[in-house]
Amino acid sequence: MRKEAFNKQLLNLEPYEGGLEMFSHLPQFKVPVSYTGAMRADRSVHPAVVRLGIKYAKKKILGSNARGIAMLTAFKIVFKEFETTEEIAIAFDKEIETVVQFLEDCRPISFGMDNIKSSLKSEIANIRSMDLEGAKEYLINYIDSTIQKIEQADALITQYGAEKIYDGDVILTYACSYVVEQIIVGANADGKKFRVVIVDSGPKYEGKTLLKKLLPLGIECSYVFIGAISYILPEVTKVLIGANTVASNGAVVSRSGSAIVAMMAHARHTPVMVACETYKFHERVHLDSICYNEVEEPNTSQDNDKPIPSNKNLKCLSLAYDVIPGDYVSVVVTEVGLIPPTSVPVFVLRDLENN
Amino acid sequence: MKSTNVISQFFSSYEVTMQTLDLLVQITSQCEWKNASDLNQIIKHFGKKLIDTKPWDPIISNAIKRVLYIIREDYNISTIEETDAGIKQLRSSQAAISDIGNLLLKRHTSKRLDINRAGIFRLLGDKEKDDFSQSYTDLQERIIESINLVIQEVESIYEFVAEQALTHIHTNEVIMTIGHSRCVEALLKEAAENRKFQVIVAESMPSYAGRKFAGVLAGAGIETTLIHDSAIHTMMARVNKVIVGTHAVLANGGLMAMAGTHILAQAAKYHSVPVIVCTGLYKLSPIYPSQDSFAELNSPSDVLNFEEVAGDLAHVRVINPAWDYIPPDLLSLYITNSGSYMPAYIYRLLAEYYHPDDDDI
Repeated sequence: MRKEAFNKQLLNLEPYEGGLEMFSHLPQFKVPVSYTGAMRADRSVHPAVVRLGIKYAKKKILGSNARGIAMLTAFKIVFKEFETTEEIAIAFDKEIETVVQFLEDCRPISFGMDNIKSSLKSEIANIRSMDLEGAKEYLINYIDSTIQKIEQADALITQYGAEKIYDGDVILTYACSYVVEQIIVGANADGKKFRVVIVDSGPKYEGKTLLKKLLPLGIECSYVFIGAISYILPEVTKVLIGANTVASNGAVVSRSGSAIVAMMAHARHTPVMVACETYKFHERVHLDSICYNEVEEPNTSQDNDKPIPSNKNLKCLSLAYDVIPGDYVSVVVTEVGLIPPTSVPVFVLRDLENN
Repeated sequence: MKSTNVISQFFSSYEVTMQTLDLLVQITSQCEWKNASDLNQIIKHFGKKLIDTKPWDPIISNAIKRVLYIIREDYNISTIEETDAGIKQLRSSQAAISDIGNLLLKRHTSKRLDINRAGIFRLLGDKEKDDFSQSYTDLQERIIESINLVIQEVESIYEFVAEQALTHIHTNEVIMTIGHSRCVEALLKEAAENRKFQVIVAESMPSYAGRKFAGVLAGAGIETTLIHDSAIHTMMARVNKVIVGTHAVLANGGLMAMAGTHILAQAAKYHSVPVIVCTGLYKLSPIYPSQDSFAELNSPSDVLNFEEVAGDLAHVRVINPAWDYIPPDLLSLYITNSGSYMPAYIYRLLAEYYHPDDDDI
């Protein structure tokens, strides 16, 4: 990890030894026993943020939407109780930095959260002339409206996505995405007759969560592991996956394994739809899955009847994300409509212009 | 004699082939038969029973068809050696075919020139249809010896595959593989004695065969990384070669390999990474892929165990396919016990092991 990034950390974290050199540019640290205990001496963070950070670290909140909204809610609490004697703009700026840095140390923030942080910081320009109470109210209102925009975006995506599901379709999805779940539930509520294939993979088995949500609604579901994708794809008419972000070169960052699903579908000319809100579009460019990723502590405790042998030459690798090259993706479903992945920079640059 | 039901307990192609060949030797030596045509019928009869234990598995029928081919070849040799004219022709053509014979000798591990001569002789000699009804006293001995040579050949494939290791694996390469293949293991271990390289093993759910393989490679001193199946496309960006084993090789040069291998091959194509298949030629099958070729499905409880499905998930359809079909255009090279071939050449090897008249088993 770069030295400046290491110095900015709020938590004293122990580096993880079994890490791969290939990923030395990414943070690889052991989970601390206590987060408050690991804090650097001179720094402190609001308890609501600490609670949120622990939830992120323990993967209690999954999915970039859920994480983004949870972060905004935590910011509201922080701002309500915020007291400072410094100049308003500088104080709020520092506070936002501190909160986000703590969350980053617990678990690297998603690109949507990064965009939210940038937009919050740019709002600080507007509170420069206000007093503390006025500034607080302004920011809290801004957060409320942001949350509302995200929820409205989700509703629109559900509508556009559900329109694209026809009777007799077989929709394939990977792991568990909030937006994809909404689209499927929405299409089912519209009375469409279709079935769903859920592709899943270890170690998280997130597909089971989605399965448990869809089956009670009477939706016909199939469940397979990723190795079976070649077998199941001939039955599939459309692939629908969620995204963490879409990069400026049209590459989609999504759960590890999505690239495989998109690639195999693309090889069979099956359309791949990615559902993503525009607030998650980021200016970064991703060429492969190694330049940006999240290395997770390998889960060596599961499946004890097939244990992983321990040997100094053997390292286990568990990655969180995958980058789907733009060529595999047919269309991105957003709240402004269905756009090709090559049009994503338009939104990113437009936001940069406005800010 | 062993029961034919025992065959279904063996899962690896190697074990199945060895057991089948042993059984066929026993049948040849213990059953009563007067001529090659009788033996042919007997073997086809038992062969059908063996194949019925696992109808989707081409490996069993490979071994049986191989033996049937041997019966034809050895019958031809016996016929030729019986007639004077045949012996003279054999001697006079010796010079002409000795070159070709030497070439074949190098490629095949079989030390008997006779088998190869009989093969070429078909090109040079008569091509009339034989009904295999002549009986020869030395035919049984000849056939049993030939089958034993095949057994030796199958036993020694790992040695011959490993000989080619250093041609293909170089220093600081990153090699990716999936599951556990003995051929790939032999190749990598041989290369590891002379060169330093890294291996990434995909653990392959739900069998997790890759875990044991990663341990084996690490034990041999190779720097190994174990990844989840979902990370195959991610890591392919840093891989130099993909080396996989297979369950069976099809006549068009395609593969019937463990589920998940198609992902490796397709990701390798996108990243322009060569895909090398390590196999013994006993896995070469004279069949072409069709829609339902690989309908073998393993138990769904490996994917979602029965306790989980009993509750909320009662109406889910769970599928756990055993095999993947990989088309030949995704493959770069076959490393086999008799040399390296390109996928487009594989069909030529069929003529050396199987006869089209035996396809009806």
